Amino acid sequence: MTGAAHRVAVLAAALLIVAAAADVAARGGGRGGGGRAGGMRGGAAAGGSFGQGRPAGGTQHGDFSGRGPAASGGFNGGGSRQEARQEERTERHEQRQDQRDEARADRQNSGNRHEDWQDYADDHYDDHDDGYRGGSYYPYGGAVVAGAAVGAAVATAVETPPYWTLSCTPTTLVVGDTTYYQCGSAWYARVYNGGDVAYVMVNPPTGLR
Amino acid sequence: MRRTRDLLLVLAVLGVAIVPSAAFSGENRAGARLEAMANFLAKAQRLSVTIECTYDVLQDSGEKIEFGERRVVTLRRPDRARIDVTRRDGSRRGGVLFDGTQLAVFDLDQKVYATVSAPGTVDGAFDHFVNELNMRLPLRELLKTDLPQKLKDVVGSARLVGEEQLGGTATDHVAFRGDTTDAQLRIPRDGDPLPKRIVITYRLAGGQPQFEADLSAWNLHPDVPDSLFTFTPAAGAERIPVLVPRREKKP
Repeated sequence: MTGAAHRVAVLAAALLIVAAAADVAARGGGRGGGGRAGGMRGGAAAGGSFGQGRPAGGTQHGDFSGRGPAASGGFNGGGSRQEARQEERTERHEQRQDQRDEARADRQNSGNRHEDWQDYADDHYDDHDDGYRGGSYYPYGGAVVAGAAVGAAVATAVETPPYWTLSCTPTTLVVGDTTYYQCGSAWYARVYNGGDVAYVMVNPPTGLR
Repeated sequence: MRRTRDLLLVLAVLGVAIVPSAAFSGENRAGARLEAMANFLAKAQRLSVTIECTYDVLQDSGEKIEFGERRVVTLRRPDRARIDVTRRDGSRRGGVLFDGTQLAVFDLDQKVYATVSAPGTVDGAFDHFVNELNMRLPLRELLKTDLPQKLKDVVGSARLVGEEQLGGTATDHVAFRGDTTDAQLRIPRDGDPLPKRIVITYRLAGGQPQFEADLSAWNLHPDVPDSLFTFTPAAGAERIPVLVPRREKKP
């Protein structure tokens, strides 16, 4: 695929996330923000792996988290130093979340977010082309998505970790093939993350920016 | 003289009988059973099994909570797989389908699905699902054909904890330690070496959570038509992307 084609695919993916639609009731609320999981359902033991690896997904279960090392059920399941680092990152992230929400709300009205996404997406493709691999997990300064367009692995940007629930009773809006969830001034769409369905903050649907 | 010769003959026969018996006791037997299980599973061209999983999750409060789910796995090697998942509390039903070209994951209760191109074998698709898409697939190693290679390093140090009755079946309780986990398997002493129970302890994780799986309804000749592995979205289901943690650049 040429660089131009990449950019088109990336742009299409970003538009898909910020522009698709269906419907489901989400829980939670907060000023234009999503609620962090009240409990986890993932982790090393959920992976069921004979070895140790990353925190391996799991699902939200009411007020309890279903995410932890044992959720991976792998023989090389999580609970590693890597996971400890991840927990530190998550804590730091949560501490900054309120400030980011404030800033984000302001930016969402500026129309600049799409350009941010495009930059992230371009960066991802640069990484991919250069064969970068490895590194830590959950550096949400630029998570990517796969399967957003015709099964191809395409990229877009997600600036924050996903939310397992929303901290408000959101307003839903279906645009194209995607359902948007609105809490205050923030908009969310659903993604798969770590084996469960989660919400990520996205640009407002076209026409509402 | 003849009596002495007969006695020596009897002792020789007994000796022959005793030597192999010793070779299959203790650690050697544990390794042998583990190896037999791995080889048997890796060679199966098709299989289905029901896995009742539970796993601990350490909450932020320090409280350890157990969750569980049922997974019905069907494989048709080299390139078909289906895993139907139901949470133990019944709140979620979904699964994973692989048809040789595409991985599909779906949730019937959330009414969503995702599809990702993954042409190749079941082994490759499962690796992609976990390593690249960061999705969850408990006991993936057990379902792959490279299981003998994966367990090769631990077979020699596997230990036989003892013989246990499990659901009316005599099993060998085999234990081994990996770099970061402790694993225990119950493998039938007789018949096909298909594991009946697996316990994995994540000993480096906070609270040392465990993953436990009871495996039943093993079937090495399931009916596996192509249609079983073909994904058709449920009516009204929304297609959503898979969020993939971004790799950091190497320095």
